[in-house]
Amino acid sequence: MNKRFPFILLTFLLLIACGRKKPLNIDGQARINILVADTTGTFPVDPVLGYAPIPNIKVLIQSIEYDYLESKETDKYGLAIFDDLFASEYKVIASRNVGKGAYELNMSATKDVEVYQRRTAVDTLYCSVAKMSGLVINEIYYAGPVNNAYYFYDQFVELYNRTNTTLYLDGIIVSRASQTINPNIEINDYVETLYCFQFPGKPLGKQYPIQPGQFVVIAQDAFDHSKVIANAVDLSNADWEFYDGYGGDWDNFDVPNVNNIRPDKTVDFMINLVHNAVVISDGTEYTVTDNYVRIPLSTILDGVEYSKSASRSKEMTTRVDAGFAGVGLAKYSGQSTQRIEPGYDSNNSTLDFILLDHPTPGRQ
Amino acid sequence: MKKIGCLFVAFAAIAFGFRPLAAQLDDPHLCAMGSVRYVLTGDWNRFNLFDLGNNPAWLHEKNTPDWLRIWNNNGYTRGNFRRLYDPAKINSSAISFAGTKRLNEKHTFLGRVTYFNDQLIGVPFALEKNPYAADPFILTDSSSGGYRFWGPDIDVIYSRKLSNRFNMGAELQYTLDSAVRDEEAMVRIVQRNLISRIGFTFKLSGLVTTGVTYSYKNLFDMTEVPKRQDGRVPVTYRYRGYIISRRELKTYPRNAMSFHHVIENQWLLKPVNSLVFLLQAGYHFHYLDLYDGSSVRYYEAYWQQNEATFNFIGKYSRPGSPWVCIGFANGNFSSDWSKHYRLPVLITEQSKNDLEYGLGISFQPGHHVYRMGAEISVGSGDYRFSDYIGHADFDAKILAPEIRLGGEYFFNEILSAQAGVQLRDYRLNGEMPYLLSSNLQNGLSFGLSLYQEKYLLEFVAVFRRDNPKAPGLGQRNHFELILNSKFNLH
Repeated sequence: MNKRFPFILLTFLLLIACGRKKPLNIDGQARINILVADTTGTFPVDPVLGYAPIPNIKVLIQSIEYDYLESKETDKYGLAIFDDLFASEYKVIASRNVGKGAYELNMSATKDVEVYQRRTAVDTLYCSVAKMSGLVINEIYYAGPVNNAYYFYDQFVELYNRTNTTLYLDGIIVSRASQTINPNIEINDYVETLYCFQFPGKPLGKQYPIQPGQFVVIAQDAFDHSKVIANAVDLSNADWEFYDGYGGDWDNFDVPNVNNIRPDKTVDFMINLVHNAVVISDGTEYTVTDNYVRIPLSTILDGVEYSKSASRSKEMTTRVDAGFAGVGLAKYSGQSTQRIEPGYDSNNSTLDFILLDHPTPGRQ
Repeated sequence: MKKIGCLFVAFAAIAFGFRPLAAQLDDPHLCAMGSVRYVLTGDWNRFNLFDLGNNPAWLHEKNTPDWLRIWNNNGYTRGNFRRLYDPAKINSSAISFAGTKRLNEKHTFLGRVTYFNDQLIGVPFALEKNPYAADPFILTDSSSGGYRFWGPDIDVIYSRKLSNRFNMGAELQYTLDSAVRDEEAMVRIVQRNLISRIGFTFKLSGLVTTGVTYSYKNLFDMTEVPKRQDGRVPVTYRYRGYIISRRELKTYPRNAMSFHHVIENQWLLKPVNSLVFLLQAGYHFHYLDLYDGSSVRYYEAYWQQNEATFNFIGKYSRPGSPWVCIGFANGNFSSDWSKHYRLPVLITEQSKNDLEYGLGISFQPGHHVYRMGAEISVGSGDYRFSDYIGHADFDAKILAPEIRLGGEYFFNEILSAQAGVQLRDYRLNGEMPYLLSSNLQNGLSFGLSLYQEKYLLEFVAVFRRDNPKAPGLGQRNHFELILNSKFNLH
């Protein structure tokens, strides 16, 4: 027994040696310093600093892994400091509107910053500028109703006039963005789209008004879908209907059409149920390539990119939308996403949009 | 013998963090007598290395005749005074068959099969059976739901006498239980618990006996999140710290694999006829891996605990005297930490120091007349917990004096009644998310026993009420009924 006991003890010590060394560092001590600067000429260059800081711009950091979100405004040097962060990857979003009325501009930028191995991450966001439109996309219902039959034909896009003057829908193009990871999206001066549907009338015409505070619903098919799936949306009273005249699309004759302008894409306005973007442009200019239609940024009125996961790569330039709507919204959930308030727009859908348990076509 | 049989004792033990002297928990007699568990003697708290030292090697030396036991208990817990993740209601029931067989002068077996059914109703957020287990990780979502855990628990103990001085023993316990949550997220939980223990005892002299045990415990806890047809992922938050959870949008099963090594040394000393001591000291090493059950295993976090324990009991009783005096002390000192699996950074850190000491006295004027006992104890605890992700530090001290009174009255040779009272003043000073706030616990127990030469029948009822000291927190009631029958096979 006496000879065996040291052996037993040694075996036990070997077993507990499987344990790990206690780390010396603790989590929750990381820091992110974000400098927000302007290179568009909207803000003057500070001769002392040597760059154009954007003060009082809201900077938001959102952890990709954790349920954590924090926002701060930059100081006069354009600097926002986030202390006591835990190891994670963060999406950093800066957004601020400047000017008023017809001269309202949005300055925004976004970037992914990680603090894993290093304790302090320092990064600079260079904001792009976008003209704010009075006509915005207020709600996108893309997930489809709760069903097992792969039914999603009750999709719709809702537009809203957020100004106090009458606007016009003539010739406006509603597009589904292409779904490619393009490394040049922040360089290109256009957005690449897959489908394009256009309101009747000439661009910038004045035949089809939208009154201040009015919602306009454009249905994929203006039909009472609850006749097919009990909890689907009744869109028989939609204001407009997407219509693909080249592909034999079903048409509600009582509802005016927003028509497909691409004869080579003979499908209805169907958008992805998980991740995609919808763009509206004034229709004055576009270029058709082999597969896509390029919409110049200068003609874009609004764009919203949505994604179930916040960690997905952006497919549309942050100059049109710096964030994602619909984070957490799953396909065939019957849920929808709309702006926090009618027309609220900071050019960042992460901040601007909320989830709805049920779609609200034609109302907030 | 380790299946919790008496909520009364078990709740106190769990709340205080003591490793209970598990064997005695099965004894309905002790439960009926106010859990006066040191100074009053039952079937499973005798002064030997098996009952109080948990050493399987001493089973043979306990020298009990062969018996068979059928046991049933039903427990009910109700009331709003509870912790965040505690169920609103608990209905638990178990039926157990156990028996001992002494094969010859060298070999003894003890076997037990228990089938249990624990119904947890209205569990807020927690997607776990034991959200307040030692590790800090709690899988949660944003809804409430219920579980019905059921499954078998099998325990086999073998003891062999190798020589007049040397005994060895081994124990194997296997528990399997599972449940499906009755509300979103309808997770399925499967727990498999394996405990193996090996023990040796050695009589150094007629006055001193020592023993050593090594235990290996392995708990596998799997939580499956069902993928809904509509594509929604019902689990929205997962573990990591108390204040901030990790967002989760994937449906991979979550696995927790826990390993626990324990080495314990027991000493039984009998310096004179009237005095006997039992001392046990143990060292526990416990670690746990959390990982997703995806095809490429994604490790989430790691947790490790080091723990030292001791139990001391000293008993004084002069031969022929009806009085017995006992002193006891239990200690449990642990520290644990968890870390990010890949990064060398601590997520949480915790230390717990528990100490309980007390005295007991009993009086038994003769055989089959009556007996009564009283114990007074003071428990103290000092807990510190830091959640580095959530930037939350908790610090709490516990002081919990307790009085237990119990007795048994024999109407005649075959019939006896037991009764007991238990009062505990649980004072929490500070804040600790996994501890109840200060409360007064009042317990009453009652039992009836029918003895015959070949069998024993027992009925026990236990009631306890926890009254919080702060107003507006409601109260918590526990009620348990035990039916026990034991048959002598010799």
